[in-house]
Amino acid sequence: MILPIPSILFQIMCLLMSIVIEAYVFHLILKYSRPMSVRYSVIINLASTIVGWISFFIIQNVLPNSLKAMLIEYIFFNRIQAKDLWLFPIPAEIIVIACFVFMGTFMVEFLTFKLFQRIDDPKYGAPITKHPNPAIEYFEDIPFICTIKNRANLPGRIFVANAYSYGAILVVVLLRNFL
Amino acid sequence: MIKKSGQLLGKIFIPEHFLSWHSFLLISLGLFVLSQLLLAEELINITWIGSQFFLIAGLHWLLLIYSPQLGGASLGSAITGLLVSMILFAPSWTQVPPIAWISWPIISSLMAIVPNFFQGYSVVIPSISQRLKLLLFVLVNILISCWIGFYFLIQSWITSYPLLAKAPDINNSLFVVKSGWIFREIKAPKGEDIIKFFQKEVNKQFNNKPWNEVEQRIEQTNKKAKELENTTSQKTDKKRDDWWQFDYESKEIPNGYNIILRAYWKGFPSLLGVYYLEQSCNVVKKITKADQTPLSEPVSTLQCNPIEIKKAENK
Repeated sequence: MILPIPSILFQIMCLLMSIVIEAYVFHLILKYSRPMSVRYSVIINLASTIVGWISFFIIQNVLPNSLKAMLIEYIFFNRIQAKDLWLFPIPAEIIVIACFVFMGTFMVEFLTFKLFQRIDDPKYGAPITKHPNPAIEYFEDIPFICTIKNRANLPGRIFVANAYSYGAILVVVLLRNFL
Repeated sequence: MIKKSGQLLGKIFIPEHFLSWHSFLLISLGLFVLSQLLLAEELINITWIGSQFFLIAGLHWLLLIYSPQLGGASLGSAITGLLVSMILFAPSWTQVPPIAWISWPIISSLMAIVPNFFQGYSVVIPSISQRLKLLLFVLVNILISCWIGFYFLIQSWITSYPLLAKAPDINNSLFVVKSGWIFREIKAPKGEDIIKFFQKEVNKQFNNKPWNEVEQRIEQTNKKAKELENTTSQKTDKKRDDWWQFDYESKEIPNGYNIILRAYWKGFPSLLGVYYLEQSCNVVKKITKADQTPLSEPVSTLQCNPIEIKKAENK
């Protein structure tokens, strides 16, 4: 019987690492309070992990045989059949996939961050109060893009936080492979 | 005595409030009895579904009140969640499809957070701190569902490509582990199907045939083996699987011929030829009692060994 226990343990470790790192970054550069940054970090990391799993299930279903064999071989034997090498001893497919995964994670985390800001709002559930100045109200609330309060480049900061956590996980993966 | 038992019966059958788990369970019981008594098919279905619905609702309510709590969510909802996912997805208790197990944590978590949206009998939106807890609870359960899904994905890969599990390189894996404590014989449905198909062909060719014809057929089949493989590989599988390769070999043995059918799995270039399925068959003269049919010609018979998974010696 083959069990995916190592993947589960490894994923829990990666989640804990990225939650801690991203919470620290939010606390430092978004000036959120410590509990609040942990709260945001936990939610966006869980959400991006789940979205990642679901896209993995969908994509593995439609992969061509050659790529699927590559995937299964990597999961079962930790070995990559490198055919077309491009500068590094890493197949070009892996580099492309890694870029997509990174950008996808960033986008999901950003969207979840904006969504959770709404859920986390104490005003939610209470009747909406009209802003005295209609022009400001208009600009205050462009969904998922900008609010006056956090106008100071929120996507850029989430990107940085994401990059830090990915960097740390990459180091762990490399250590795991070569030690 | 009679009074006491009467009181007990009253306690069992008369709920304290109309809107309670107690009355739900009673409605469920009543509908169940009704579904057993009714004759019209549609009515039976409706009452049966209604009975299941009220059973779940009543049981869930009961467990929410009397089971241990974890972070504002009742642990008892795991039981009712299992019940719901089985009713939704499993055709019977003996064959439970993966989707029932995968949806179990999600359904349970959704059922567990329901009471947070009610205060008494009115709908409310939970407070901020509660919202976070509930969201976290549901997200963690979805993640657990993903892990269960990954487990079933790996199982489906192993049933399609069983040699994966037999390869010694699996110890290098960072993602899966082979556990010895739950042993199950790994079968190869696809490869076995291919071999069984060809075994049927061979049976048609060589079983119960006059012996002099057999010798001709062996030579013919050797020539046609390649052709045979091409024409029949489409029939064995609707969606043609390029990952299996069929191989046929025959040789002479003292009292007949030995035919070997092999199915190589060539999914991984690095594993090609390392493991394969093999079935060996012998075509021999049928031994008949000499005094019964002394003048008849010798007739062939086919004896096949069971299919085995083998490891190639040279790679």
